[in-house]
Amino acid sequence: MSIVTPSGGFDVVIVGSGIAGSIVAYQLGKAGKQVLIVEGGPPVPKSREEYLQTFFTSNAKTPESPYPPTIQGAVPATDDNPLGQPNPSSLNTPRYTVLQINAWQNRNISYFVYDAPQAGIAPDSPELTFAFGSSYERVAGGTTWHWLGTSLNNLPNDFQLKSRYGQGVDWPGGSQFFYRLLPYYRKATEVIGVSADKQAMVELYKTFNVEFSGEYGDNYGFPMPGIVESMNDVLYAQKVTTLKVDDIPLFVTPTPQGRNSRPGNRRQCAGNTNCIPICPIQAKYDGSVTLAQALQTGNVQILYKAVASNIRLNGNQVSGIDYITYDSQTGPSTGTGTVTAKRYVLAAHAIETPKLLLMSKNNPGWPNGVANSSGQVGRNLMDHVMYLAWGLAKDPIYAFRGPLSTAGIEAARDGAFRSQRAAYRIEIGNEGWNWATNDPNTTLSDFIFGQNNTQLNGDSLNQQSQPLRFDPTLPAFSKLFGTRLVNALNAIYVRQLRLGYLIEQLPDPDNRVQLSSLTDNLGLPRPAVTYRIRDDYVRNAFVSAKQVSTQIFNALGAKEYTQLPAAVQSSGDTVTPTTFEYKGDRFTFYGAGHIIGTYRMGTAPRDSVLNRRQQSWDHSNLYMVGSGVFPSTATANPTLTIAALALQAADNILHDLG
Amino acid sequence: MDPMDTFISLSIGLTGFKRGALAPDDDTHDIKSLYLKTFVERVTQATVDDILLWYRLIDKQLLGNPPDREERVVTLLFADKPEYELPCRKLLFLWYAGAWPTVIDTPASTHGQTFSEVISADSYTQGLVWRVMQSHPMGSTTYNYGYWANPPPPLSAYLENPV
Ligand SMILES: Cc1cc2nc3c(=O)[nH]c(=O)nc-3n(C[C@H](O)[C@H](O)[C@H](O)COP(=O)(O)OP(=O)(O)OC[C@H]3O[C@@H](n4cnc5c(N)ncnc54)[C@H](O)[C@@H]3O)c2cc1C
Ligand code: SF4
Repeated sequence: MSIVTPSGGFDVVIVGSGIAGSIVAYQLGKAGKQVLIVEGGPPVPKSREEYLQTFFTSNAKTPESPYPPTIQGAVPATDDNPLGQPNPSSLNTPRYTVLQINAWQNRNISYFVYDAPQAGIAPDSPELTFAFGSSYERVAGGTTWHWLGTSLNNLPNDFQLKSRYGQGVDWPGGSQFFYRLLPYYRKATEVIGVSADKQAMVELYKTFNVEFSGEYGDNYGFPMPGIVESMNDVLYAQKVTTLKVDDIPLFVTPTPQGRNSRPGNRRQCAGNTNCIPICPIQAKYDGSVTLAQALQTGNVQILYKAVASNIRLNGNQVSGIDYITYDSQTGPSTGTGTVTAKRYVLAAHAIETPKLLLMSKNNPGWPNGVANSSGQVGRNLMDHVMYLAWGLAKDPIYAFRGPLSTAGIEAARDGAFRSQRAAYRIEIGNEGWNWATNDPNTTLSDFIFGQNNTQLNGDSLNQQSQPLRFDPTLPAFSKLFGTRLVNALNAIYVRQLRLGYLIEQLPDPDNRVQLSSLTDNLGLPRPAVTYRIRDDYVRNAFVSAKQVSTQIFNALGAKEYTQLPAAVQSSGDTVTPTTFEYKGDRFTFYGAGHIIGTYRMGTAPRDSVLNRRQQSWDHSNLYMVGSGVFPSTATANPTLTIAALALQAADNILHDLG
Repeated sequence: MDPMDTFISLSIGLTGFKRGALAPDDDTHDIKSLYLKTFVERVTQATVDDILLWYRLIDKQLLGNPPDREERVVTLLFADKPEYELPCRKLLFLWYAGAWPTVIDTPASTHGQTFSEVISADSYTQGLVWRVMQSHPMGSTTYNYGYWANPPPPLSAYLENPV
């Protein structure tokens, strides 16, 4: 694609065309500014059928499975690489994937480079290191291709965790940050086209003492009515009201979601139950929607397959961004270039953005990289660490139908308990044990081949001492076929329940992205990642989540099947990636897909990368967007906040440009 | 009986689904042909021929016409020819998952585990596993907005009818 440099040059160069970069581009393009996006990945395909077919034929249907570069079957399968995952050093835009988590110590498979855990470390040591749990995409439109669509606001207290509860850090301005962001939250729900039941949101926010204005004000209605709840949701809604967590009464809230409840510019959700990895009909919002709007302004141009590789400085101002182009994923680079503008915006998400800043270390006077006088670039890597619990309902709730999640328990997102333990929201899954056990395949193979990887077909007891064998009249390790197989499978699948706790994580400066000595196919360093869950604050939330799950399943009359993880191994070939012990119990955490914190905003240049305008303290013509700017994870899924902050950043940039 | 007829009878016995679901009159996907071909490729023509031959022999000896005829034949087949049980179970898995399984015997505590290879986009969406759960393949539905708030049609509808 050829770029036409406008006569006055570009006003703004943006690196990355995910939701954050595309929102900034659209806002600026609409205001008549000349914008160039540098996008490392390939363009949005003409039809999403291309990605969908790759998904259908993938053996492991992980969030990344539809998207290039291919994550499985790329090389012949071997014993230590049964899915044929590509070597990240052979790819031009490698990224971290869920399949790499179990192979985290294998540098020929895992894009992130990890050190082995310290020799002889105890399984309950806070110093135990883990694989990071979350992934992202490097294609035009970005990671929202495979997001779920949950679109919640953070709470005022999320922004003042330090001053209110003595934990973590405040966001600049504390709870005022929330109120300043409200109008942008409102605009963000419009950008995404959120479907939500306003009354339910008003009820919820009342319990958190939020003042009604902006999104919840009298004159505001969400773009679309709420998405119909599942049969699953209704069961929880009826039963959990008998329960309290730390004195907070529980109730179910329908989730505001970035998918169409009505036909509009995009199709109405048809319940394909596939929002992650790919919505086949684009009923779900993704970044390509806003990218297309940006390009349609006529003021935004984009370079695809152009990987930003270096940021140039002239004094303390950014003077250009270098990029490397390629044609095919494993082919050689096809050229290099430099783009210049009046302002620069980094929107390459929370791993590739800090990596780019750290790679840019050849500017005189800036040996630690661009925007890094604080030394904070790449630090405070966070996620919502997830606790998963699953069970079988007494009666059919017909799992595996509808969007992957349509409701949650939000009531425990704030409270006095936060001086002791992390808050969480509880996501109610509609997808049976798809995430929990890789169903339907695991239950299927258990009953066809007489295995017991689900605990449904063996002798074990659950943690409440209930026998787990699904049909006590059958022997353990039964092999079924015909009508008996049909009846067993049906009775299991239609009852499968799953809960996911999105636990907030505190900033830890030693959780970080650095540059490793290994490189990708373009010669750019691969990230070295160090990740721990050190705070008792966070670990205590796992203890709570486990207890609460058991109470919820009891209230439902369901039987819990959550598996006790295998023992932690901190050395040898099978180093456990995401399991730790705490207070005599053993937990596995999962990633929420929320990569947060690696170029945070703050109130002082000493300990933050950006001011609250999302502008670099070091270089006033450089802005950054995305969840990397968050000082803490807060309790909502991040993307609505990312969108609100991107809208705000666009206003700040427009203000600067005059 | 031609091999396809026997293959379908065997598949009915294994899967518990009815002929109308596995080999509908108007069979646009013709998944049965893909599966017979895959079965032959994976376990050899000689083995498939012998399994189908044994199926026919046992079937002939069965008295009367019980409604669960195919399942009875499969039970007897597994008893008479135990070496054919595993290949037949792999075929059963293929019908359900649309993928060919590799069964390994570790970890011993769970009596092993199974990996599988998807045969084609069609085989994934035609998998019986979606029907036995009274749903649709993840990523491909013909239902409409909001269907998930109500119970699905009865299981029998999924067992008897084409997609
Ligand atoms: C499984 C999963 C489920 C999720 N569900 C939810 C949810 O329900 N709700 C929610 O709020 N959030 C959810 N998220 C998180 C959400 O997807 C992200 O927060 C969001 O996509 C981040 O947007 P972004 O624009 O900042 O980054 P991205 O969307 O990742 O975009 C970054 C862009 O930068 C490009 N890029 C990267 N490196 C370079 C380079 N060197 N040069 C040029 N371009 C580059 C990439 O190709 C990409 O286009 C989920 C995430 C996952 C993984
Ligand atoms: S449920 Fe289906 S149609 Fe609706 S958003 Fe998810 S994938 Fe798209």
